[in-house]
Amino acid sequence: MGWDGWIRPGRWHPVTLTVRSDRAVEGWIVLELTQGPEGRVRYRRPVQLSEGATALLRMAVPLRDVRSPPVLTLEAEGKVLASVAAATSPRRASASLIGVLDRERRGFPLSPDQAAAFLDEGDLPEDAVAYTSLDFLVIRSLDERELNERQHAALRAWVTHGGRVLVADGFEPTGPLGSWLVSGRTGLGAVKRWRPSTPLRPPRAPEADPLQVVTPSPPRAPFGRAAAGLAGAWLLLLAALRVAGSGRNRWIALPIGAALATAGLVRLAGDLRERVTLPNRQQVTVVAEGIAWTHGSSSQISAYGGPVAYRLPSRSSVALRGEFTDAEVRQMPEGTWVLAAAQQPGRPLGVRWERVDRTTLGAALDPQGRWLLLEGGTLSSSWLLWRGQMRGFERLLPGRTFLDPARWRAADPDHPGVRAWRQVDPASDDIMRDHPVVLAEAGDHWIVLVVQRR
Amino acid sequence: MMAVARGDLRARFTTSKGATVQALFSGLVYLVAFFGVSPDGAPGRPALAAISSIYLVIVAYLCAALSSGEIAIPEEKGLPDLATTRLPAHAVGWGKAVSGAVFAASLSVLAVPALSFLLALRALPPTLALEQAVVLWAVGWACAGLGTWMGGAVESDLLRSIALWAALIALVGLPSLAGPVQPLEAVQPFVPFAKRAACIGGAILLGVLLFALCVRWTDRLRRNP
Repeated sequence: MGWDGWIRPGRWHPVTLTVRSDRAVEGWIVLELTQGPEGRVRYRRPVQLSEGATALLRMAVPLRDVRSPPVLTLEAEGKVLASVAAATSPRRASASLIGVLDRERRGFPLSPDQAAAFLDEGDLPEDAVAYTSLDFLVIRSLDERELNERQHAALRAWVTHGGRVLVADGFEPTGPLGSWLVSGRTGLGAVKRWRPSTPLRPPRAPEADPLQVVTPSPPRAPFGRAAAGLAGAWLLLLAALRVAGSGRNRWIALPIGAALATAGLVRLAGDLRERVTLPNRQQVTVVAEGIAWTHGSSSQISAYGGPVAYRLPSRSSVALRGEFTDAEVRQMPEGTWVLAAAQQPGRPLGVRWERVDRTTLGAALDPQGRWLLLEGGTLSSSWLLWRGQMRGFERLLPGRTFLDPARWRAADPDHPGVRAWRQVDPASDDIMRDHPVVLAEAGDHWIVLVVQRR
Repeated sequence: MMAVARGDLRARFTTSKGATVQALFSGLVYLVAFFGVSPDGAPGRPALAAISSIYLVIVAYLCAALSSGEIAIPEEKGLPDLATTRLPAHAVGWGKAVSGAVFAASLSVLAVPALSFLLALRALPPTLALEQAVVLWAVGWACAGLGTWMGGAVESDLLRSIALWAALIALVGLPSLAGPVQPLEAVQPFVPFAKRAACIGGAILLGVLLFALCVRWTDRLRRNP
């Protein structure tokens, strides 16, 4: 669990699950961990093992409470075959974590509030989001032959989207990843040379909570529609009673009336329930250097509580917040995730998901601001933001779009795209300050293109 | 037996007073359901629990009060009236049992749409309302037996009312006196099946005993008018 057992509470962490079996097993591997004030979440992934085989599953999960150890279970045919509690210790929790990629595990200068986790290539995660619990990744040695394709892509995606890497003096690249890291063209990331004798400084200010979800205000009960529905049902039953009492064989009118009233009221209840379950869903995909990082956030308050279900894209990392019981995040055969939980009445339930993928979409801006070049797709309603100014486009087509200097205006800080981005990505303001960006509406979510300057 | 049952049911369903009682009962059920639309402020669905309990109390009271004559419907005959007829005692007692069962069933059926609505509003299976309705019916029928017997056994209206209320409180309100029956617990939506079954079985057994007592009491009224 975590980085060589080290945990930064409240952040995404890498988890490696190793399962060995002396007989063939087709079942589920279940990781259960605490994620809310009173809720534990089960992450359920399918596993198939042949006799004597070992399966290695890696995932990124948020770890919050180091005192409550995660429990790993292997289930097959509805039975628990094995269960083990992972060892986590409050002594190995820190608010500032530095990963040190160094096989020799040499001494490391640290300030008192920092902790260093010594790693080798096999410890590196396959999900870029898992790196977000690190303040820095220090690379003293990196043998790229030891990395699989996913580990390779995850490290590159994290750095491209703002990860901080310190490359020790004397580091020699052993492959394309190392060469890329020292190339100086690493997207939003910060890759710097570092002398091992120089103490590390933690980031300037504590980062915002990366798992934050925005909670909608509590809904109002739909008394008017409920009163109308209940009064209607009562009148129907009165009529049924009257018919039932009017003749010897007309008693059947009462159960028929009750069945009709039940059907109507159950339908009305479903409708009212939707009205008093207020969702707040934001999904923003930030594209930089051909890598798309989707930040998703959904929160809802239901006046009456009850079951909640979401279907999330494949290869997402999923976290829950708020008050819930009986929560399960299950990987479906086609790779998507289905989340199901029981929500407490009147209490918020939040879901965060992060997903990293490759994309052909990209944009570049002329240094004088004369044209914008779009590659890899067409964008509908879009806005270009740069140096405190913005301009809109009804539609952006692939190729160059010439920019009329007269159409720039002051950037709107309350622009819905900016608001949505801020809600899901703590780094949004820094990116907007340092880079031109294109905000584009794409159905129910937003795309943010970090524009290169050419 | 069916003549007694038909007479009671005709009085309760076709006379103006009987129809008024049914209309008021169903109005009260749907008014109470309206209060259940309020958002649940706490886990455990307290509104649903309270409303289920209120329905049980109303059904239990109405079944007992109409059978005992506390709510008198002039056309309905009690045990003392029927004891003066030529009908056999068992026809009187079990006829009352049939009318009590049908009446309790009608009240339970009237409560099903409201309970289903409140359950569906909380994303719970509306079919739970049927289970709750069976508890309402069984307890209502037992209370009808209690009321029928008291209608014959206690002559004074005041004493009968006091005795009826005391018995209802003991049966419905005090779990320790109700033994395994515990109706207030069994009528809740989330109850283990065994508890609900124990309540339904216990209430039916109690009803059988009380209506059997009514048969004996009819005989006794005939011997000592």
